[in-house]
Amino acid sequence: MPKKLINLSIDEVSGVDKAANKRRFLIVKRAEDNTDPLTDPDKLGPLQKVKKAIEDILKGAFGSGEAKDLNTVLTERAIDEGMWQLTSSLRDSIDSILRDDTVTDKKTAVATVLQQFFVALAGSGILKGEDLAKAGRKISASRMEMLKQMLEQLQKLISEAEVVPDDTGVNKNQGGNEPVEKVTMDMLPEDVRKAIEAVPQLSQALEVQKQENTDLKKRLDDQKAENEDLKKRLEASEDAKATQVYIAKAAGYKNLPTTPQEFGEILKAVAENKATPEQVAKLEGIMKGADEAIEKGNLYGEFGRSGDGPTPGSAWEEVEKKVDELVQKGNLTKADAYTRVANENPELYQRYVRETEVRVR
Amino acid sequence: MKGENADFLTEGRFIKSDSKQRYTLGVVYEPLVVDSQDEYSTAEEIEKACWEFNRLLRGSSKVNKIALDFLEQVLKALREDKEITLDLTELEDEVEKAGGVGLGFMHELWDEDLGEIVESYIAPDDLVIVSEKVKKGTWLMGIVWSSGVFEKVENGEITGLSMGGKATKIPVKEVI
Repeated sequence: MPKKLINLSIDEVSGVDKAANKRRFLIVKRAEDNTDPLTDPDKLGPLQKVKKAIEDILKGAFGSGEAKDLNTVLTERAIDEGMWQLTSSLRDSIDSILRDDTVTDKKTAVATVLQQFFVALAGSGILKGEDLAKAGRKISASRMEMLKQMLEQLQKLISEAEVVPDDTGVNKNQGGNEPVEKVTMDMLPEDVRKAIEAVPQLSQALEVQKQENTDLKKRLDDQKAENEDLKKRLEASEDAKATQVYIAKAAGYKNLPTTPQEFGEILKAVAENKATPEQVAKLEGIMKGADEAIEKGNLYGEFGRSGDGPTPGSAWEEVEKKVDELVQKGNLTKADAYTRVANENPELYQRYVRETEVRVR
Repeated sequence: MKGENADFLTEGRFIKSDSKQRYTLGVVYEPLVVDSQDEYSTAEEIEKACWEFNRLLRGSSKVNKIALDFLEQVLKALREDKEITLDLTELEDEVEKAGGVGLGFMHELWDEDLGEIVESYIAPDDLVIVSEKVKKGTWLMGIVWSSGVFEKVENGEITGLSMGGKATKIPVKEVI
């Protein structure tokens, strides 16, 4: 049965380890993280991974624990403060670059800032063994793993920025204006470098993973090339089929001055709107040849248009001759003369009919 | 049903933190929400408690003010070479009221080095603070912690707020 609290008289409010509402720690959200939440490691980009790795290193390397004397606490605080200044400056700098629209080459700018951070970190002495020993701390293998991941991210970003030496051997950024210092593992404090190298299993696992990634990439590239080849072959096959269809159509034009193969390819090219100038010229030649053949064959000639008169030796010539003789005797008109000639010369008339008939299909 | 007066502790939660300022904003108590100790309170009771607590906090400042007044009177008497009689009643009352009031750590340590309460107020309406719903009538408190305590906040050793004081507890069948 719940109890209702009334007449509350509160004299103190404490920070405590557990919330009475049974919910684990509520949202503790830093103001600067509002636009860049570091909550889901799987969704972090390279920059976020670097930032998270730095924060994790700080949290793990400088966390609280056993009883400490005054000197230890003082050293810890000095280290803490130094790391805080470095990482917060890095974070602010990256944020300012990402938000500044006037910075067009953000990749180079961010990589340069990361290089500067790394140089400052290496030169600060914060990660040197003596300070850590004073603080009574050692960087654990897991922290080394995070540090290594951070370095890999840094190196990746730096390589993406294409920092290359110019003619004078000085490294320049993409803009080619500002000299930048090349960052290498050699810049790490010796004890940190040794600690990283002293994790053979991790290194081996990373190498295996790297090799697997390389193999996978090669397989993907091979598959891609094979797919391209299959695609080309399929397209060629379909093209050949279409050509055969047009050649078959072209074979139907029996009197054109070309071959079915040639005319079929021209028809296909025209249909696909891919005719070359040579094919267009060839088509014009075919059309011209067809026109001349039509002209010579007098397929569409008009009666009486030429005015050449009866063909010599034809039945029509004989009929005309007989009609003229009768008309010249003066006792018949030309029309009556045609009738009499036809009636008196039935064989001539039949011959005339045969010579003037037109074939129809 | 008869109520009982008792000391009690009840806990809230942090909902916002800014590491640069070592600042947290947390819930001290929400109205009509049964806590892990099977206790709850109403918005009206929580508001009264919040206001009274704020008055007590101001009382701490009042002690300083009275003390400064006394010092000024003593200096003046010394300069004028006069005798002075101080009435310490008011100061004693205020010291008693202000004693042990303020910020604590796990209800065991009260030290001015823990931090400073910079905000203490009642949510005037339903709110959403950093994606967290906060019910109207909830007592919210903003604290700027010392670096030592804030480290515990960041490490997860300190996760919320808990109020300590006195109250009357009345068993009820349902929360109203």
